[in-house]
Amino acid sequence: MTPRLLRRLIVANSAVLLAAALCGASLSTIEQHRVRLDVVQPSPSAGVVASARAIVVENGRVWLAIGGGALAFGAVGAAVIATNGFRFGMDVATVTRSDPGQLRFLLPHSALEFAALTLAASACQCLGWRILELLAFARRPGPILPSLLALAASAGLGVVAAVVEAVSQAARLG
Amino acid sequence: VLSLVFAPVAFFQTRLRRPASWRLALGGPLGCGALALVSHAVFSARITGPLFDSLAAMGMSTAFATSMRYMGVLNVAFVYVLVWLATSAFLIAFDVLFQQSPHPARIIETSALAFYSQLPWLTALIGVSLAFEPPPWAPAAGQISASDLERLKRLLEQDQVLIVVRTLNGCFAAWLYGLFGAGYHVVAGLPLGKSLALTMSMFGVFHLLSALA
Repeated sequence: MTPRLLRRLIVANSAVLLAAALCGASLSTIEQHRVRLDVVQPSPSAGVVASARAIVVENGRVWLAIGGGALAFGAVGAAVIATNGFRFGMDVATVTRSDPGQLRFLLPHSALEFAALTLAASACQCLGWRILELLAFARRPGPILPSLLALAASAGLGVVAAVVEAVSQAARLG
Repeated sequence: VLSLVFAPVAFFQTRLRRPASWRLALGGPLGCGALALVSHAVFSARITGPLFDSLAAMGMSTAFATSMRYMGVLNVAFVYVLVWLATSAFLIAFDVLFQQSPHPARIIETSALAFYSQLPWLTALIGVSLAFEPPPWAPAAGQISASDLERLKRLLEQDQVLIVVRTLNGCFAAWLYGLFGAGYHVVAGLPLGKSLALTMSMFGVFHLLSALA
């Protein structure tokens, strides 16, 4: 069973993500950004497997940053979610206005990636709080196993998201 | 707040005699983040303005670059909160290992209060950013090349205003770490010199890491 703290953190981080994405989308709408996607081509990939491997490495870097951020009580996770959520909201609004058909290449892996980020950030914030309970408040900390499991699940989701992104990229390039 | 400038140790001693005020404490890093957000938004708009104008003149869309620029600005706003929490975590860990002070949670409060010292500088930085004129730059040919970007980077590195801003930023950051040391001295009773040496070595390590990054 998921402990209450982890559940609350997942809800709070999802709210931060949603709010940041809405802010980004609003700004894109206010500034009327558009993009010609026929001239913005991704660099040609060496194949789905090589591309997926490169994306796994990138996702792994972000995951490690969030994991390391547990030592700063998980604040890195919140920062990553807010900044990436803002950019995602802005880009989605821009693409929607310019060429909505392209969203099918963007949304599937993004949803998985943000689910992984939210889970990792929440798990690290939960772990950070447990450390704080133990060190600063001299209390017996709550269970840490659910947070570790959530962290492992987020890593798995990150790998799945990378594969989906590689497939989407290949499909987009035709 | 003025006593934080002129008599930081007395300031922290007075604060510690009262119950912890987390709202007041949070105001420090959050206020710094908000002010840094404004000044960096203005700076980045001015610095990247000529670059984006050139891209637009070439018929290229700047939408994705703009979203990336905003993301960078947001990241800067989070830096203060991250520094506060990372420093607090380090000092608490040090305290648990070597000092065992009775109220380690107050380290988080004193570290947050230290950020009030940065507010005047960050407010002034907004004024500087509004008055800032980026160095004249335009791509040599009709298209932006790697050497054009390298030239822009060099111009920004050599800009007198930005050099002064970077230097003052470093000085205020050093002062902030000094105040972390004063706060820790009051909470944990570690001699002031040792507390300052501890936090200034942290400053050195963070500075080194950011330079390496």
